[in-house]
Amino acid sequence: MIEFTEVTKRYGNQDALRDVNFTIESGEFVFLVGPSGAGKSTIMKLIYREERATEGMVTVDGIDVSTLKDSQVPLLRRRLGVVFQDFKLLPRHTAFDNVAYVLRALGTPPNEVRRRVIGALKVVGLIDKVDAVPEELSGGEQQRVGIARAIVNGPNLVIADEPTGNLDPQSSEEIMNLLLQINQRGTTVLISTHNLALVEQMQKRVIAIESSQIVADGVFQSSAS
Amino acid sequence: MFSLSSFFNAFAKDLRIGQRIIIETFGGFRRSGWMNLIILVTMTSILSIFGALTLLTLDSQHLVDKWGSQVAISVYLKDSANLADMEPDLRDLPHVIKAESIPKQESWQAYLQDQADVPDIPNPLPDTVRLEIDSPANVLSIIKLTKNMPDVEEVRYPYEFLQQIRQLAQGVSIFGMLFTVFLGILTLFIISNTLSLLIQARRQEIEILRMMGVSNWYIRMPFLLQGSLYGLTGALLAYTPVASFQFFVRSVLSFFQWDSSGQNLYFVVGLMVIIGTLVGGIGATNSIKKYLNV
Repeated sequence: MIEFTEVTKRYGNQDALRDVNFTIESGEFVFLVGPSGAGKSTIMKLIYREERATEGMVTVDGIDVSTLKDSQVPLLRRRLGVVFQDFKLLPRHTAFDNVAYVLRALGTPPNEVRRRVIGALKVVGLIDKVDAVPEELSGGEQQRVGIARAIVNGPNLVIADEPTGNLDPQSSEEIMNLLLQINQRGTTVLISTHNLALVEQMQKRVIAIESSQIVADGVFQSSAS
Repeated sequence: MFSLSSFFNAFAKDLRIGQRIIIETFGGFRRSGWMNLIILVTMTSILSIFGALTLLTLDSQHLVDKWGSQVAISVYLKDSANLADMEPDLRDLPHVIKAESIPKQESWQAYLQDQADVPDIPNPLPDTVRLEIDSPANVLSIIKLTKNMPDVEEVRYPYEFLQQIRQLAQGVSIFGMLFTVFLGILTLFIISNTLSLLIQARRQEIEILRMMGVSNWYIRMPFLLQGSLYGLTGALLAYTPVASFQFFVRSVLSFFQWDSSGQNLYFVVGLMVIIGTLVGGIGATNSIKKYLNV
């Protein structure tokens, strides 16, 4: 699903990533962990082609992203679902409209929009909040709307950049469980986080990055075990 | 294989996307608030000035062309001159193909019939000989020749007067066009700034659309349409002032019994629509390039 081969990303003289290699298979649930500035966000940006690799090759869902033309980027992104740390919801739109917004922009028929949005809101457990605007929702609920928006187009891969960064521990756990449920339906999930407690609890594959390089890759082993 | 249903589905999808773009465009107008009014007033003003000046230039050119092709001059005689003696002399000049005597009594009667409330004064008009010349190229030499005749008071040729009108109109037009260009740049700046503010305000939405794979042209189009619609609306609003200006010019010309072309207004309005839409579109493109790096 995702393959990084000898990937280096440089900003000026500064290496954001150096010779990074990893593969994420279809259907996997993977955490990307590391301190701030280690290169987690750069990996995310390379996946959804916000940035291009300086050297090496990035493949996502069979597409060589490193050489992808700008005009083809929207087609790549339609196959992905992106979840943001700050939710990025439209403040004056209801939960339904927030999820429906992109589908409408893509020309989806209205009855199809309704079917898919209701389906996505059911998955995230917000079917009773379809008419609520973001300020009427808790942080955890807002992030659920963000997740519903990410999955509404039926993506093969969901990437979440610090999805629990703005949430309390209980909401964070709920969001992780929700992403796990989505993964169990067959969607590949990649989450960047620095919440090690949650990562430990989930017992899933972890790619650790530090100083622009991968330093560990495997199932998280807590120091207690 | 070609499938009719897939064709109709794709067409229906494009229609829905078009509908969303129109909704987004009008949403942009709603968000722009008072700036809409400022832009439209500026746009209408510059297009009105531009239209009026273009009309003035075209009309004066048309008059000069029309009158310039008439190869006739009027020779006014001194009071001491004898019309019957002068007419053969003038007729015998080279390149003159016809000479027509208009006695001052005849001119005065015609004037009295045309004008009401003329005071009871002695006839001030001179005897006149109207000369027709074989070619416009020879007009100036005949004017020179007749002006030097001792019994000739003055020689009138409408072309000279019209040339002066045209020069005046051109002077006004050049100044006006410079002023229009200045206002045009100002309008570009205002449109570009308004749309830039709008792009900043919609940054979040644009970011979401980009991340979810909505095409770049879908994101850009509402801004481009909004800019162009400012220009188009400004041009349509400018129709009334420009048409009124033309009505005024025509009234002045018809007072002097001069006719001008009636077709120029449609040409000028068409030009205003094209230029207005272009200015609006360029203003929008400028802000899209600067602030909408998608």
